[in-house]
Amino acid sequence: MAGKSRTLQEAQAVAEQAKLDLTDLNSSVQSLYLSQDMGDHEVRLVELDSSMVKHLEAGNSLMVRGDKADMAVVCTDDSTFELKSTQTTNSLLLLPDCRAPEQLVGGDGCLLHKEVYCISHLYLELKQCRPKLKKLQTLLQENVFTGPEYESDEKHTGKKYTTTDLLSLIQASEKELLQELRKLHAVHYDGYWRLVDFDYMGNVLQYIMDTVDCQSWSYDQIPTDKLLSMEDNVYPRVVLQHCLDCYGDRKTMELDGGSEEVHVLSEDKVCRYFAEYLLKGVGKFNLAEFLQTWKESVPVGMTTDLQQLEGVALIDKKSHPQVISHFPVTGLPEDAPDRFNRLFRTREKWTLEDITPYIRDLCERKQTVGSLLTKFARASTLPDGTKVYNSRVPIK
Amino acid sequence: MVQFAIRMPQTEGGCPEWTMVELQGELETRDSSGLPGNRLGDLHFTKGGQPIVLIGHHVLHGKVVELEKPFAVLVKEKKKDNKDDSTDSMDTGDSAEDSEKCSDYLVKAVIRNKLVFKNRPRPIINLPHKKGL
Repeated sequence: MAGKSRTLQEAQAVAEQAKLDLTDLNSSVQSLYLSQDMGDHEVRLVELDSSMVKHLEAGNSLMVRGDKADMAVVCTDDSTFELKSTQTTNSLLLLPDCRAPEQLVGGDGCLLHKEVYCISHLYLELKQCRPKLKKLQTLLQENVFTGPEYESDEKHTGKKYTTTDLLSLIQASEKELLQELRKLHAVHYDGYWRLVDFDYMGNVLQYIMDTVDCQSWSYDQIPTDKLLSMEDNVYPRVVLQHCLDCYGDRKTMELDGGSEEVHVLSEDKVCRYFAEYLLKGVGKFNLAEFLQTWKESVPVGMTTDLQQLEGVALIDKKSHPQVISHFPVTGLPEDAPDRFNRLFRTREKWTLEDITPYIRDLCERKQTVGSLLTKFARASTLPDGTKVYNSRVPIK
Repeated sequence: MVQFAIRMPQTEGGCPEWTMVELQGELETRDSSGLPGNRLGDLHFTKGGQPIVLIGHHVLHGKVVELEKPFAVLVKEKKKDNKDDSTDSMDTGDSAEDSEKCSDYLVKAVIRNKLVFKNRPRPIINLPHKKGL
């Protein structure tokens, strides 16, 4: 190999020729060689942040999940990052054993032989992004839960998914996946995640409320365990617990016997259910009639409010009479350009107030609703002074 | 979907730390011997800690930079059953069936510092009487 028998004196002579001031140099020199089997050393360089390095040092893994058509993502326990390949015209030499200046021996110095493992012009960068969760609904719709009695019928032969199954199919971290499952009101039944049939859920909710009335309990203080342990419960414990968690909040009450776990039924969530019940499958509902019917359908003591229907229903104030229709955000595309296209196809001009609940979930880490609108919409002012947004591009 | 892990083998002494040297452009050899096996050059440090590299006829002055985001050097884990795993899963667009498992990538080293040489190389002019370089 060329120059293997090089001496410190030879290296110093070259330095002198280069007009370097030897008195200002550390006496040791590292002679760099390109390793013989450099061509076999195939590596990938990935830029990580310090918390990921610590995560790996502790023995944990980073999961890389790649969909056929999409970019690959890297997931930690709670976040998702897009993996982007970057090319550079610079040569990046990797040295396993280079000494930093403070590690060089003093005194007369010596010549150290160091090898370059390989040279790269490519590295991978990570950029935090929204997890890709739309696929989850598609998967879970293959087998929707309508009650234990129907599990073996011909409508329930579709595939069922465990958490591990889902993590191998969805580009998301575990925490983000579980969050989305909660949002979709999916129940963990028999080890599998299941979407619950809307009408079935309504029946369970009604049963809970009837039981509360029967027992003279209060909606604000449903004794969880008492309810779940009742002997003649018509629904499985898991399902009742799930319904309580979807439509109520857990609370620990300090009572004179000790503490007790209770559920506080959420007026907003219950009213929202009843509204969806009325709106589903109807198309457009006369707003005035809807408001009256809705008010009459919710449990005594609960108050309806249109605020509860943000991201769930759309009101057309311009039509005569005014109408309301079911328009859930969960049914819309997850990709930002597609989402905006669908929104503008539904309605040409949107006020900030109306559009916000339908784009809020699109915000990436540092984005705001305002910056999304700047990117995807064009602002204008109506004759009456209202500020509205419409599409920047032709609608497909 | 393709799924695999990036792991750091837990060894005594922890994960090795490597250094990166960043040079502008490409390295070439004067003859046709190709790069591997050749001596690249000499790396000196000034007493102030500044790196200087002598490559061929060039003098390059650089600086030590602590990376804001460390690099992980990854190598593919060798599959135990020697199956030909020629698809590189880091490049997406794999035609994989639902949830195909492929090799994990292991962290061979972490790079927290680099020596960056951005200055235009200063050529070394050979004076005829020096010999034995």
